[in-house]
Amino acid sequence: MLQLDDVTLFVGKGDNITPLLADVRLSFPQGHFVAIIGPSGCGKSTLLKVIAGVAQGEEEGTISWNGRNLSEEDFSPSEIGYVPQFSIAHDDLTAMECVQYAMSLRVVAKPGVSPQEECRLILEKVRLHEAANRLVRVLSGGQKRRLALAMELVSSPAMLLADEVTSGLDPNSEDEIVRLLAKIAHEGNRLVLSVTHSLQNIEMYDSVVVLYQGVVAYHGPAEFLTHYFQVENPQKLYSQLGNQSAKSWEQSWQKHKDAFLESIRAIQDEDPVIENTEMVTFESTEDEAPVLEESFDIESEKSEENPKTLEVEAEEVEETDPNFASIPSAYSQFSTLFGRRLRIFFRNRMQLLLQLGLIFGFPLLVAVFAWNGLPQVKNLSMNLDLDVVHQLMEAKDFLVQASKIGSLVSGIVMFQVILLTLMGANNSGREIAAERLILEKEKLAGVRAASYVASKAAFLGILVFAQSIWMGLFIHFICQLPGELMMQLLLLLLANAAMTAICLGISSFMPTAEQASLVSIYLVGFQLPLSGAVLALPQWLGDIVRPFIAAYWSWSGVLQTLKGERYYDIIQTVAQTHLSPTPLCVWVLFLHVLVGLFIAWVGCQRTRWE
Amino acid sequence: MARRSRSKPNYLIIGAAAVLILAAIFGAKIFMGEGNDPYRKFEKLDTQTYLENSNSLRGNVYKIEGEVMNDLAWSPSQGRLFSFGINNSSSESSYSSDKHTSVIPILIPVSLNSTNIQKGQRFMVLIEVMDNGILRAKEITKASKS
Amino acid sequence: MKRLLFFSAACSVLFAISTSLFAQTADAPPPKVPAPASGNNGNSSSNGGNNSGNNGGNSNGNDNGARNNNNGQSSFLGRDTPFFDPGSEIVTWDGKNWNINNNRIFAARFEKYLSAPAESSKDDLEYDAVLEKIRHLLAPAEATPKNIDEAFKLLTKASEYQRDANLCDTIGNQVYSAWSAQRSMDRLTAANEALEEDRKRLEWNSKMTVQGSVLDADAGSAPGAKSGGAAQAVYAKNAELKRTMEMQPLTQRLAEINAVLKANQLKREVSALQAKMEFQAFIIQLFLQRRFQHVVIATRFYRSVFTDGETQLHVGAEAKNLFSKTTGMPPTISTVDSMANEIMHDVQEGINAFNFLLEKNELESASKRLAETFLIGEYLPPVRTLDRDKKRKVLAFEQKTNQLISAIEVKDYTLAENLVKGLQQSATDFDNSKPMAAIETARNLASLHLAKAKNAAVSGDKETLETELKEATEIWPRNPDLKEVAGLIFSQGDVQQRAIVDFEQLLSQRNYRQIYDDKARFIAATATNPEKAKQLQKVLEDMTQIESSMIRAQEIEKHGDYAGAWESAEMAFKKFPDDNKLNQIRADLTTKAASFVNSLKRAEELEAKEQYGSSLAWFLKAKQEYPNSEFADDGINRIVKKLFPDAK
Repeated sequence: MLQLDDVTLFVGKGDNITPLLADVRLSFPQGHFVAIIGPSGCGKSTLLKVIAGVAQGEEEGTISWNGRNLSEEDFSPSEIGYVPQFSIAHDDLTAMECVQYAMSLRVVAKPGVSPQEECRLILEKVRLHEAANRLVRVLSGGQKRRLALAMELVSSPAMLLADEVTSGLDPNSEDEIVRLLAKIAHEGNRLVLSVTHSLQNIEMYDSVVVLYQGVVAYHGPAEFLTHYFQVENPQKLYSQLGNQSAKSWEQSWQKHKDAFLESIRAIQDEDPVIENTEMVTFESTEDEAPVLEESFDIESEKSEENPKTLEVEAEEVEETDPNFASIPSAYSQFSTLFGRRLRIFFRNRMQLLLQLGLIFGFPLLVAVFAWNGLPQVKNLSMNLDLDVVHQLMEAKDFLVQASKIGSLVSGIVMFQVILLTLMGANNSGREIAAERLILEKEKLAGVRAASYVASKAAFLGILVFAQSIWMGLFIHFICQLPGELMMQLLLLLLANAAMTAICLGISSFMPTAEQASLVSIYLVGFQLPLSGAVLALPQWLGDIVRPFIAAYWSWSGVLQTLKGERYYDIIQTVAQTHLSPTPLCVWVLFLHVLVGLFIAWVGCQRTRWE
Repeated sequence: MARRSRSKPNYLIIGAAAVLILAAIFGAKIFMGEGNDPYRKFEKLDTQTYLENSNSLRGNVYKIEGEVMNDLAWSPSQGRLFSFGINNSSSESSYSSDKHTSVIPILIPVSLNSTNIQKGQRFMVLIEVMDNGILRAKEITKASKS
Repeated sequence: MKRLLFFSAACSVLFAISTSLFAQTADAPPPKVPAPASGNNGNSSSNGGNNSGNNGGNSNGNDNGARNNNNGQSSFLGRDTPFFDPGSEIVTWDGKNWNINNNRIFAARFEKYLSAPAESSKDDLEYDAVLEKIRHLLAPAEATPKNIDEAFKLLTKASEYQRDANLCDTIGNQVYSAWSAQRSMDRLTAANEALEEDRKRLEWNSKMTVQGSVLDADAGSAPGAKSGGAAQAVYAKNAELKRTMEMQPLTQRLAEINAVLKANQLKREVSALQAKMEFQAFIIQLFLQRRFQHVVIATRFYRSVFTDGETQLHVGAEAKNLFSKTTGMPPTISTVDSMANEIMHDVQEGINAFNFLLEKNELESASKRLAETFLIGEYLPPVRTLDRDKKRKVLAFEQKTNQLISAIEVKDYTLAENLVKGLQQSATDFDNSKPMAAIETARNLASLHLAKAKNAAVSGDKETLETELKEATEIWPRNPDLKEVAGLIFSQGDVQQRAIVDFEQLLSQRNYRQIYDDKARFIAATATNPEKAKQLQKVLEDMTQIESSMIRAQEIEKHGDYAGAWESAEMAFKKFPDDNKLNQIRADLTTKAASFVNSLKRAEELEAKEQYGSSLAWFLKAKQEYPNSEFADDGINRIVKKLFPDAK
């Protein structure tokens, strides 16, 4: 039983406040299949989002689910299923895999039940079993919607919100989907709210809500729609709506609602065919007809039973979070997500090749500068007796040599670091932003942001490790870069990891993958100039920006590993910026990683449906 | 606000951020001191006092930071004697004019023979003032540009 | 003819000038005292006897000419009348000659004129206009009584102007007194007429008296004839006596009247002549004062006052001669009038000529012309109104020429030559031949003497040297070559002996520097003394060492390397601590390289205290300040050797 009381949604601030929904009062019983229709922009999808609790804007009024105020205690993830109008599956997975991952992310495996089998049944239910092993990218539009439905059904939610799942489909597929939804509603005693603009199969819905400019213009059986609006067929409804203002439609409905529903009830009593569709609860909350209350009570008792049992079950698995009672543990989610990410990674040939190209190509780029190793440093004579002219000549030569060799060594290290940060940005720039909607969907379904970020971190960690270690080893052995190898590897790794983490954070905050990768590349672009390795920054500017420039810390740290070498002194003479001690470098880079992941986590926590 | 976005993680985020910042500052402090000056527990040698009267410093241990200038002597038994340019005014950077630099002799004993010491290098040296006023290095490590 | 007239006029004018000028000049000798034999101009009087025949040829030439003129003219003019010879521009008077262009007194007056502004102020113009008007009113054609009266009135006005010097007033007085003289003559004439009347009456009375007594005598004799002849005779006798007695007062009165009449006539004649003579004398005076405008005015008044046509001059023979001898005409008022007019015209022409010459930049001629014109027409408008700038040019030229003359007088030939050059540039017609000749001659003579003096100096002939030098100095005291030659002299002597003595003295004082400074002398002196030569050799070698280290120190110092310079000086100092110059340089450098020196000193002090570490540090500091320092190097090596005997 879902009940909306005076639900209003505003967007904007100050004078620009626009109500998207105004004083919506609706009530839906269980096992009910509802169509929400109305012209474009009337607030259909918004209404769904408000119900799901993910709408942007200021909400007023209360939404109750089975008598519980949702603003006090929200849906548990398994109570609600949301089928958005966009595809919510990874293109590189098969339909079966999608459903399996959805299941293992949302549902705790029950002992004795094969998840494989369960998934197959679900696919069968949505009649997608034939395409179970096809990749999502090759599925048709209708199949993708079914897949989406299947993925929602894995947690068998008590309420299913379907947002224009039929749009863009051929009439046949649309017909099938609507039937499927009706079946899901009636067979599983589910409340199914389906937003649609298609009036084709309107008679298959148990009731129809007509929204017009954010107000409820009608809520009642489909067959009385034409009667109420006095149109010949439902297709003429939208043009009829335009004949009066939203306000007057609302007033009109408020005025006639009771009488209208009364007369419907009378007709229904006469017509036993429709009785089993449980039309009895077409009421606003103000209606206090004792007859209806009775039936309402029955329904609520019935539906409340289910969550209770679920909760008990969940407590056994995970005691900490009652909200996630029914969902798998964080680690389980992490490993699922991690496995899925790996699978996707290896399944995408292009990405794989690109990564390999980067890993092996970039070190070559660096090595070009010192293919035959680094030149030796000629020392200054230290004899006291040397005359001034000779000393000056020597000093001049030394300076020339120093600037050559020093710049070379410093440059090689910097180049290494910069290329690694570039790889880092490339690793994670698109990572979250590209699948943001899937993430949002999965978050709604109970996936934890932490698990998600952790899975990303783990996956990217592998990439970072491979990239950095290979780079470090290659340069160390090919260019004969001296110094402590382990420390160098650690610093290179941290530089890459820091950049990857930060870009992951960026990715989690950016609306689109393109923007995220652009910002990430900018960030890489800033590394070299702001590191001060090539040109000294003004003191104040350097002090301000340096903490944020991963390249500096890595470069500085790697150069510190050369402390025992002559190169170190030479770099000291030519370096424009002073070098920080290695432990500090490691610490700062480590902090970068932490901060990046933290930002990514915060970013993933945020709801972003757009 | 939507129900899902106004839930409690806000406090979690603030708390976590605060912890992170504190950790960062604390860590940076530790590492910065540690990395920049391994002998930070020792007093810096006052070159002026040393120039005036080395007797008064006899037996003390100080640290100095300076640039290797010349090789004055090499004794197989005692070690190498170098002249080091010490920057007197701590605020000035090392490449300021010579006027702020005083040159002092430092004996690198045989025990530190492994350290390659070349002209122009900057070192931090832990020194002990010997009876004849010569400064003998106890420990030596390369310094980074301040 | 005109020219001649002008000259004669000028001569007469000069008389006045010379008298007045000499009267003004306090230090001028009295006119009667003869000037020195060759004295030719005003300069001679002020310069005393200095100019014994050494004046420029210029003046000499003038001198001769003047003398000749003097001789030639003395026969008829004597030595008492001033004479001006335009050919030589010499004025001769009272036994003295002077060049008008070269006369100091005249020059002073002329220069005053030259520097005075042109008198073209409003007053001046008005004054000229008034005089012109008077002249016009008195012109022969215009001279009606009315005009004369008006002219007479204007005289008062003209005399109000300062430039007039009250001459017009004087003219007015003259005219007035002439008029009053005429009035007194009229009274005498009237008196005479009255007397004549009286006389005529008396004559008639006496005639009547004589006739009446004859009648009486006839009547008495007739009765008396009967009575007697004797009675008749007595009666006649009585009648005669009675007539005589009656006639006596008449005759006496007549005689008296006649006498008065004669006296009055004489008186009248004397009065007229006196007025005339006074007037004429005044006119001549104006003429001699070169107030030619006033001369014209006065002559015209004269003619209107004395209308008897008698214009003969009743002046002294000398003044008369002045005119008659030069013009060959009897001197009359008309002559004076026309001469005055002529001079005025001539002055105008002189000024025109001056302007023209000035335009051509022929300053010498221009200044001469102006001087002449000024001499005569000093008070005439063309001269007075001459533009000051033009005058200034002449003045500048005049001053320079005067300066030239002075320069030649004081034998400053360098200055003279410069002046000649300057003059030649400023005045195209300046004749430099004479001054240059004088200058060249003096120079040649001086250098001839100097050459002789030089020869004498070389040959050691002291006597000739001194004489020749004296001669040369007398000819050209400021000759720049004199000093040079003088330097050559008096350096002879028995140097050798002295040098040896000095050398020994300096050696004992250890004053090697003095020996070194005078080394040429001592080398020469010790040439014959091998022992001393050896000593000298040693001293000189040491000094050369000191010198070279000093030079080195100074060279290094020039590069700003004070420490290096000090070290160089210090090294020499350690060897030769007695040399003052070296000491001074070292002291200078010690302050300049104070820090370096201090470092070294401290290092050495600490080394002495066996604080080797600090000492080494100070040596290193010194070495840092002066990297090439040998002292520092030595110190470092010393200490290192002490610390590490096994050091390599």
